[in-house]
Amino acid sequence: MLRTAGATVYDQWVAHDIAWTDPLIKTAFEYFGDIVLNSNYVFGGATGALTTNFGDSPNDLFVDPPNAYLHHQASFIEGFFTEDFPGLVPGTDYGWFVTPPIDEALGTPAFGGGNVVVTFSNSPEAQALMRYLASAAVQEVWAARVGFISANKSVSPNVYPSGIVRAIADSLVNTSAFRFDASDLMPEEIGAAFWKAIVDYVGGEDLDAVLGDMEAAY
Amino acid sequence: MSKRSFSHWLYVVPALVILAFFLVYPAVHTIVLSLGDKTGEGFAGFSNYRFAFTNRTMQSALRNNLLWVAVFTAGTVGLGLAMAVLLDRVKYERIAKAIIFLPMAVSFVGSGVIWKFVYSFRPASVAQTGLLNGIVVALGGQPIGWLIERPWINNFALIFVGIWIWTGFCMVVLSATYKGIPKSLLESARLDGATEWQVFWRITFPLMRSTIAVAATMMLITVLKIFDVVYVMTNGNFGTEVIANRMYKEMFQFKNFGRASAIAVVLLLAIIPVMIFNLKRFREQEAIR
Repeated sequence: MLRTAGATVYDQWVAHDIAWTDPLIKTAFEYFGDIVLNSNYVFGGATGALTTNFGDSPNDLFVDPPNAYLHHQASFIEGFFTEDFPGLVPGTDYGWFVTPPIDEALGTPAFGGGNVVVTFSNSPEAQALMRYLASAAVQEVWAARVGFISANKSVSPNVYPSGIVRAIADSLVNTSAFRFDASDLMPEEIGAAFWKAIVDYVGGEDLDAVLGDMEAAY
Repeated sequence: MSKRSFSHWLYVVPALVILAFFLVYPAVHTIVLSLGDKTGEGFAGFSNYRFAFTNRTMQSALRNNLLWVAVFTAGTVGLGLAMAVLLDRVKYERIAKAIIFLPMAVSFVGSGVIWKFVYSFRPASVAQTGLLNGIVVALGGQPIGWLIERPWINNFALIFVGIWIWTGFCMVVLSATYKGIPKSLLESARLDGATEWQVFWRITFPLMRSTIAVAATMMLITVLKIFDVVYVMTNGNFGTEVIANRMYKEMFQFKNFGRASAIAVVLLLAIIPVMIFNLKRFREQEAIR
């Protein structure tokens, strides 16, 4: 959605200001379907896509001969496959790149999940703690551990443990826009219905029927 | 009131209290909640029931439950009856019966896990990990997503697991009755020239009718609330949703008290005909006594 319709429409979609049956959403689904439903693009075809556990799916890139060469996932997945294949060298055995733009005008907004610090009281002490936790000094301590990428632009890139994480962090702080995952932002039943809609679509159901059901879920 | 009938009531009162507290009160409370909104505080009228019957996923669940009722009940009772009659004639009867009954000893969730591995799918170019796909590939076929292919393959795959679990129970119940049929009846029929098929349909089956009804009723009640197998193997995805799974999701995942209660009441209403049939049969049996 971010690549085909842009951040503003994305926000409307999350807030349900536009219907699920809107052509903009259908186009995004069709881009997705062009890849997932094509058995030449996806290892195992749609059935393989539906039966493979997401944590195990990158393993197909590292068997000999590889069953796939590309994997689309968030940066946390590095921890998964480096555990199953300890000898992998980042940069030699695997690399990464930002998903290319689909509409050049919309660029490549970043998209991900994050940790959120929440305070229950509005006292000055709580606010000072929040500000401290967001400061570069603290973020650098966190970033030195694997898997945590700081959104603070002042964090020195050298604290990251590997070149790949450094590059990912660099792309995050320099991105034009950032959005949280849509299904997480939507209410729980809608997020679950969204998940079911994707599974039904990959399972071969008609896209218009699936989107119609999503609209009816509200 | 004479002293005798008063003491009769004394014996029954503790059971009535427990029944009232653990059965009647929750049932009434559920019905009240089903008319409420998501948190149980407002009043929502019949909108939850409208949801339960018009929502596409709920309709799919209702259809699947009907499929389960038809196939599962026929499968367990039919296979149980066949086993009960056939195994009576062989020497290894005890061992065979023990093996068929063994799945009842496994927890239903455990059975779901076992069969999830059996049905496991890997793409055609790599080695199969599931037993069924291993056999299919060894015989030269393409691996099949047993839990994925909709609408029939995955539903029948799940129903088969249910039958695998419960056939032993039906077999044991029906076998007890079968052994109660006087051998002399069957012997004389055979002497008169009846084929085995005729002996079965004209003598055995009518004599076992009430036990078959009991077994069928038990299986009906079991299948209407089927949950574990579906929850563990597919979680209701790929078109395999069932009512009990929806109820669980509405209650514990979406925390929607109103809808979950409405689905529970729908399930209750579905079981009532079975219960009425049961009660009628009990009354008939009492009348005979």
